[in-house]
Amino acid sequence: MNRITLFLIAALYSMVVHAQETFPVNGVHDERHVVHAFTNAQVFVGNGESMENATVLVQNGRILGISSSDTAPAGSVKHDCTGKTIYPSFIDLSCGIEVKKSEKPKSKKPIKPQTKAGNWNPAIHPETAHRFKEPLKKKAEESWMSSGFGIVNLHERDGIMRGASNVYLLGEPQPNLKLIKSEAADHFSFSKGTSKNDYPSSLIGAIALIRQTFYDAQWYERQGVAKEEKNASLQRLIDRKETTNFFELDNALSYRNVIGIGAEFSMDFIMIGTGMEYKLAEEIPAGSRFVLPMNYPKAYDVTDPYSSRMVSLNEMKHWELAPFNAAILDSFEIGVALSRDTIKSAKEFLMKLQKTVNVGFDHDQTLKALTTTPAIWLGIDSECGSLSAGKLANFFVGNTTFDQPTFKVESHWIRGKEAYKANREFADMIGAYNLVIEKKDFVVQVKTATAKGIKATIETEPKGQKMSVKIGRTNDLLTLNIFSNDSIPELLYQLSGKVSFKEGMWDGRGINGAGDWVDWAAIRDRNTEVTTRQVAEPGAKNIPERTYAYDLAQDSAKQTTTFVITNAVVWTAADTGILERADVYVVDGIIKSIGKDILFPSEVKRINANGRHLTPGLIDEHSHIGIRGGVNEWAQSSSAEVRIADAIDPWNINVYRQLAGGVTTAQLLHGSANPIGGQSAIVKLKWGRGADEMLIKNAPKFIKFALGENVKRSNRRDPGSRFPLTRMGVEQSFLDAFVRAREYDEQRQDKDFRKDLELEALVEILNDERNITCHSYVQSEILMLMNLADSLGFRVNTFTHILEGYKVSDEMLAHGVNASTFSDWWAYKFEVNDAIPYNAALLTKAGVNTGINSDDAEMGRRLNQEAAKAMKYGGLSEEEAIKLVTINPAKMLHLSDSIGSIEVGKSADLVLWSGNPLSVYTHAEKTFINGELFFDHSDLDDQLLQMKNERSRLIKEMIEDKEKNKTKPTMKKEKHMHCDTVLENYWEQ
Amino acid sequence: MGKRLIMLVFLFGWLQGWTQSPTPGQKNDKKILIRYGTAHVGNGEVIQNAYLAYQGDEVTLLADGNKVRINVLEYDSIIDIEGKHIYPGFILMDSRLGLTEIGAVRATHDFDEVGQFTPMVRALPAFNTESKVVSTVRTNGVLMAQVAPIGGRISGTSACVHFDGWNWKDAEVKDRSGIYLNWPTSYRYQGWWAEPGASKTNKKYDSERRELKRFMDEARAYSEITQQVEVNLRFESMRGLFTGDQALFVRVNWARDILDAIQFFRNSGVERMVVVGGAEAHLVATDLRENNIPVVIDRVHKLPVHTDDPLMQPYQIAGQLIDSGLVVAFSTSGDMEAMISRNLPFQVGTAVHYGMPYEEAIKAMTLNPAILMGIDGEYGTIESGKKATFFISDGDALDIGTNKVVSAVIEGKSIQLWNHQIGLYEKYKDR
Repeated sequence: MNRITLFLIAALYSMVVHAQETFPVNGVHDERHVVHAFTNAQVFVGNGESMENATVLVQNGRILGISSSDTAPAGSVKHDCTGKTIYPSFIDLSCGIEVKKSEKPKSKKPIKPQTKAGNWNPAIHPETAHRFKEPLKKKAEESWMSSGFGIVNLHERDGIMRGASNVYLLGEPQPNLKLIKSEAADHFSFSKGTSKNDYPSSLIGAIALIRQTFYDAQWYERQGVAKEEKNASLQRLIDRKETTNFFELDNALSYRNVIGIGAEFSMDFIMIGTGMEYKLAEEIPAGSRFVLPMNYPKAYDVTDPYSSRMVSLNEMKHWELAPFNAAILDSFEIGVALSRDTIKSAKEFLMKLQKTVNVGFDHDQTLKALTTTPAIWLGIDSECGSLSAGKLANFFVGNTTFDQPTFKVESHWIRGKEAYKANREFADMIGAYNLVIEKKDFVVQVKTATAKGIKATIETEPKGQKMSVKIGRTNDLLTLNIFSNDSIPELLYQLSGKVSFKEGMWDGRGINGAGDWVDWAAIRDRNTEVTTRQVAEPGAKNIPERTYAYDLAQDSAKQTTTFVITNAVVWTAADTGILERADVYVVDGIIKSIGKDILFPSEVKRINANGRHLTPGLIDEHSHIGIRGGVNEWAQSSSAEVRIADAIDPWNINVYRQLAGGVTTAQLLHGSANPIGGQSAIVKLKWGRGADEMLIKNAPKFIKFALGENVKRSNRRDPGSRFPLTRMGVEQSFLDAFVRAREYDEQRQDKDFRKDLELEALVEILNDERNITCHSYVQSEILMLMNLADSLGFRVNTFTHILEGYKVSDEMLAHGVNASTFSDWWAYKFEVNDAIPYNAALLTKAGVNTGINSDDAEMGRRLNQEAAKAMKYGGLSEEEAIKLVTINPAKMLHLSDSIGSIEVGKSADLVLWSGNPLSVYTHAEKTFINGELFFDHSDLDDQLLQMKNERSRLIKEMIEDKEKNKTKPTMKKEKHMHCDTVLENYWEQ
Repeated sequence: MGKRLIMLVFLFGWLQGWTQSPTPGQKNDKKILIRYGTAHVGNGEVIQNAYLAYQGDEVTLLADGNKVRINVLEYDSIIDIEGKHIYPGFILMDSRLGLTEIGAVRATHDFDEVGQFTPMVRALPAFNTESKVVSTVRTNGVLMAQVAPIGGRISGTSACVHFDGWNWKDAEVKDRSGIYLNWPTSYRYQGWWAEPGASKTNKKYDSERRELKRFMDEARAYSEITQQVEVNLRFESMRGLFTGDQALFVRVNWARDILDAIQFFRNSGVERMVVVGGAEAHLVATDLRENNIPVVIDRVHKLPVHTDDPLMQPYQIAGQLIDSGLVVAFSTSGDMEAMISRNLPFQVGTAVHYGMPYEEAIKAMTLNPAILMGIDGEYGTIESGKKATFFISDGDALDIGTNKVVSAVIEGKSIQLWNHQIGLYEKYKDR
């Protein structure tokens, strides 16, 4: 028995199964079991295998078999595929077809009444499934099929918990056959989409909402059937624990949030990437799975040297590196599938596809990422994603392999039927023809010939008199209209005919100008040269260096954390004060000894300070740099559930700029738009490292509170109706929150206990496990919060801004609160009218632990100058002044055992200054964090030179780039956030 | 003894009144000599052992005590300031001082009028001499400012004022000290001040430019007839630009926009043009120099405009422009611009650290702004015959720790170095 027979038996078996259907038939049953044979093709069966001169047999919509011979069995319909390729249909996991356009929310209310028994927040609707009401738009389906896709996974791209997707076949008209897997996967994102609810208004809010919803589902499940509230959304989350989950990222950096949520709730998410994941390849855990978009950016129009400054080096690098995304992730053993995503035209997709292969993700890997990988991830690999007996006959025939620029999908077969056929190309017609009509000779030259039109010229022979001709072609039938070359053209001949002898001859009949029928014929002149456009063979490219603006030199000498700084004026910010000409010996990032004649091994690396000044790394107690997706979750009066640590942006240039100003540690705070803000993140400014490395491990827990005009929304054009709008209401917001928190804590043992992330954070405050940093200005509100705290039995840790602190310094001292203030800001709003630059000095003299903070990316670069103002205004000494930005904030942050001063045993967070650190005539020379050199002023020239060279190389490449409609250079101005910064909805940015 | 007493009165005379804002200075008819200090003249010169004398509102003498013999008997009072520094009163350009009081309170804003072409609105009558903010600025040595409207295409007419006087008429140094114009920006920001979104190419650039062209052409044509039958207030207020009496201050930042503005105004009839802002002026310094266009740097303490810019670019630009031979002055416009004005000396001090020669820096806050406003005949340097507007600092006025203004004189009147912040400090320090 040969192979084909074996396949036939298998097919017969499956045929019986297929014969049954639920639909009644009108008329005589029409079952067709005829085999179609696609012969002589190069067949890519999947799993990286391909067969030359193979024949694919198809019957009843499924693959009957593939044989390596080029013969078709008798009784089959033969499709000659000589020289052609056959690929399994591509599968798009994140298809851009039918993307719901996000409407802008029209009416806004703090909390909208719920209209259906689902989740309270309209962005949470996991119970929705993709509604298959009618076939997808035919044009879109054709476009997708013409780019190789036959199977799409569709979901409604709206909201945070978006519901389930269905898997459909393209080009299949019969709905019951079109749907091949319903509710195949569940979809999530951080974007609230069309939800009209104000909450969440930020990325951190979206993350908190997702976590809370999963906790709610756990609570809902624990209650069993006896539950009071019926909630379709939560029920759905319980029922669907084991499905495949897709999570669409808003930013490559969000991968760590998805992984965090996955770890917290034992879930596995396939991430739909943004195209910039390559930048994080080293830190993304191996084995993670990504669906990668292929809409690589176009080159920028950098023809003007001034305008090209609007494009940053990092944006240029993204243009260069984006096509390598898949190849880079794959090399780090990260699972990769590819998606056409939102690329509108098939032609563009094919171009990007070739670009992908061109840059090192080879043909077979690319094919896998479009076929077998997505099939496995969706759990449809038994039917789709590869070509073998028994699987659905979903495949396309191409003229060549898809990595070739001339590649074209000629036909696409879904369930064994031709669902798409490319318009016929008439390229073969191009050439010269000798035309004879009524014994007159003409020469016709066909210049271009496509389905859209044929362009040709005509002239008489031998005189060369020009005329014009219109040629139309349908299949093999032709029409020719020949006109005179007069100013008003006269129709000379109206001809009809056929193409025969393999494009070698046209002939037929027609009517001449006089209305008489005439015969005509044209014979091809094979001697005339046929010119076709040559497409250059693309050469494979190596992965370019992943270098960015202000990259740090990676030489090991700089990374050594054992060294000694000699001959420095050491501002210890400790009891020892300022030491003249002292040495500081650092071992493994820890200060080992300090003094004039300290001992250290002779081989230790020495940095001679030559009398320059050394201080502890500066600490910015109040900063909003390096936060993405909004600093304020403002929609509710308490947002204790949100965590700034979720939104660290280590790529923000301000991180490096502040290092250059000597700042080593910063508390990144939630904004001040609501009385109870979010949980802070305390970071070390380790430029070039990931968010997780920046966050101080086991740092004390903090939360932001706020009082006054921001909370009251006083300075907004439309304050809206969110409670509170007065200082009276602010007090009650706090009281209410803590009363609820206390009640909550007492319920912990209840069976019905529902974990509430907001109240958890508040309970931590009551239990002295979380510290408050409270934005405050006027004395009345400062007293109010301290009174309230006293009455509830907790302590306010820090008042930040605290510009009227000098009026209540005794009360503050009694409460034991720290003060973190501005040096000299005032007059920007009514509540700062009594702010005075003497505040820091007065508070310090009263005994309150006081610091100076920035709240501003610009000011954060020169905190040393700001500290100096406390000498000018109020007469603090140099020693006292430097403490305002070192040990004092360290104490406020409960980190003074490891940072804030130069003392033995502390981390070597150090700044070497060019002169007196409190002078404007000084800059930071070197900034160390844990003994590592993160900023070196002497590197700046090299960094700028490297950036200049890299920019000019990329500008040259972009100018030479052939792609049309280049992107106009515009500048993405980096976000500059203060605590007032309120985004209505960060996704609209 | 007598002299020492005078010194005390001179330095602490302001203790007399604790009002909302300090009482204006008293007229002085005495001949006063201040000696032994280091005088920064304002024109780039320094005199180490300086003898400075003034009478009425005029400087009568500035001499080097090591070179010239001074007859001290001629003077009614003599003040010795050994070790201290004398500077001409610093002049801040493009300021909103006195035109605004509290940033978030719109009722206190008087700097942005309705309309695109409003050259006729003038800042002077809106200047509030009772401003609490102003009194916190002069205690750091900033004694004069060009107060200017913002907004629109042509914002309005600026005025030069000093910071002593019962009302704006007293404070007036020069009404019509220049017209302010906002050049169309080829790139426009979206979002708001704290949260700027992506910038976009300004598609209206050409049409905005055309609209401006028409206005400028018509203003120039109008100015050719001295007595217009039908008066157009807008065009009337533009006349000074075409006679050279007033400079045109053009707020423009991008290099390409600066070049375009230079081309635009080259044949517009405008006699004097000044670039204000000039974030990328260092890239087109040659063009600016060839066209004798000075630059008012909007503030030193700001972030670089581009991610790829040198980290310290805003600190360096003043020095770069000086090196290119340009005339430079300073403003502090931008966020919290009024209250931040008092940091002008420290912003300029930062520029000194990043390459601006010290005396050039002083000049950029004294003589240069006076030249730009056409008041250098009477202001901008400490010279015999000019107005006695100067201050004395214990140390270097450009560094935070040493800027201690112990005495300040505006047009010969010793001003009270008191402000409501000092009042609150005094009130609460002994609580």
